[in-house]
Amino acid sequence: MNRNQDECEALERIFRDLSKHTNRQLAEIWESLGDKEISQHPAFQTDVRIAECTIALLSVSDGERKEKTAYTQILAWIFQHGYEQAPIRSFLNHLYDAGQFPFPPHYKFSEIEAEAGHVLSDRSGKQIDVWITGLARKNIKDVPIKWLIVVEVKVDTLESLSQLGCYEKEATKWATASEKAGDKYIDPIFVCLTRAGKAAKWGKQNWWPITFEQICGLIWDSIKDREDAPSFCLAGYFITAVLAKVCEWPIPLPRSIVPSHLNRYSLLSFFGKSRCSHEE
Amino acid sequence: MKNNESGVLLGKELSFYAKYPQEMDIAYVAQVDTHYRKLFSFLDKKQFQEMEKMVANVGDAAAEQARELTDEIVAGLLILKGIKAENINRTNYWEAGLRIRKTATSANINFECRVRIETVGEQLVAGIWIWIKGSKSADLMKVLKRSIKKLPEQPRNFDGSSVLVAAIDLREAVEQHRSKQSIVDELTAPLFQLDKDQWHQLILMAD
Repeated sequence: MNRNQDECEALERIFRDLSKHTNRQLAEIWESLGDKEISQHPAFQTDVRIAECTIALLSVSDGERKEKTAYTQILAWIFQHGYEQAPIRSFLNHLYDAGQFPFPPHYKFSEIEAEAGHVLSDRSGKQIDVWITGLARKNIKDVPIKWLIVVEVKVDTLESLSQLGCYEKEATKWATASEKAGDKYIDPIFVCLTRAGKAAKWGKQNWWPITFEQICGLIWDSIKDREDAPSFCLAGYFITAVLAKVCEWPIPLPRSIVPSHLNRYSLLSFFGKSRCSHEE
Repeated sequence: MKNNESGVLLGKELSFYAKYPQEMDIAYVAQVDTHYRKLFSFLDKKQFQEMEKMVANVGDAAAEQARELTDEIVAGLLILKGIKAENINRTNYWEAGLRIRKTATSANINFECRVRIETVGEQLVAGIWIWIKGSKSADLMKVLKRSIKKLPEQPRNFDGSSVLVAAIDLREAVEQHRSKQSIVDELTAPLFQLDKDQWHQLILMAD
């Protein structure tokens, strides 16, 4: 019997225990819930959210067909959930230093929402890669000022003629709605994220060019001393994958750490399966 | 049913992976993510480290076997007649593919055929995908369905621009003792059903 055969058998035993153990853990959560829905339990929700994100991240390393979708989803996730706003603050500071964003680092930012694949309201079905909104104020008592950053990501496709124009129209609609509502706001900011920091060709607005390497650097700087943060390893995956796959840095993607075929639904399905077997 | 076929079978480690795809994935992720590490709290530190080593050994061997299998499937596709194709550089061991050109001198390659082994739900699936830049999957399927009577059910993470042309659950294949060759043949067969006109139509869509 060869070594791997023994190891397969040993792993098989562990995996059976894993299944039992997961069921037991879920059973405990279930009992603590009473009549509530299990999916409402914060512990379970956290796991599922983390699972979704981890898997989406790993799918970047998998050469998924729509790599860009995975990158933008993860980027949006990191901007929205990254440890104590560190990654998004780092990004905003970069834009401030570049003269693109009017609020300096000591401002307070709240209600930050980063959405990947923001669908245009014109029913064209087109989507903006990352749509980031938030509020800024100098002091807590100040009236908050709304801001919007539109990020267009280009990984391996060319910019089409009318694409950026549509996005600019959508941003104008946001500004008009803010005005009608009587909110204070600043003009939308446009960012074009590419491999080489290429300037946008067809947009009427000023699309601030930024490279993937810059984004990775900004994220890394903001989290590198926070290894305990839940977003730390997720951001690490993102940076590794982007540098290796988009920037083509000669980084060997470690097979042993990043299973190259991991599917985003795999772990969710595992949790689902465990839940079902408990319910039976 | 293709039980107990003669010929080379899938490797032991890939067969194991096919049996426990989700568990292997979780064991990998648990090495770098504390949330998943908690799922293995029934193991002490030493046992967990041992498991890490075993997962790496078995996983690496499975990855090698996956590379061989995907290579063989791509080689099976390369003999399609009248297609100017070249291998896509591999970025990992679980995926390989071909870029298809309209003519030998065409500059743009917007048409790809990929072979991928991936975890789908509880299964480890080997599948062949066709992707044409800018084309909608519905249009692609219309052309493909003229020759391929039954396309596999499109997965949940279907991205709208690729079509899954053939798929095999590797766990089932292992249980049926299917040879590698029979897996290659079954996966590539649908593409051999396309006639010259349909290939031409697909290639035109990619322009």
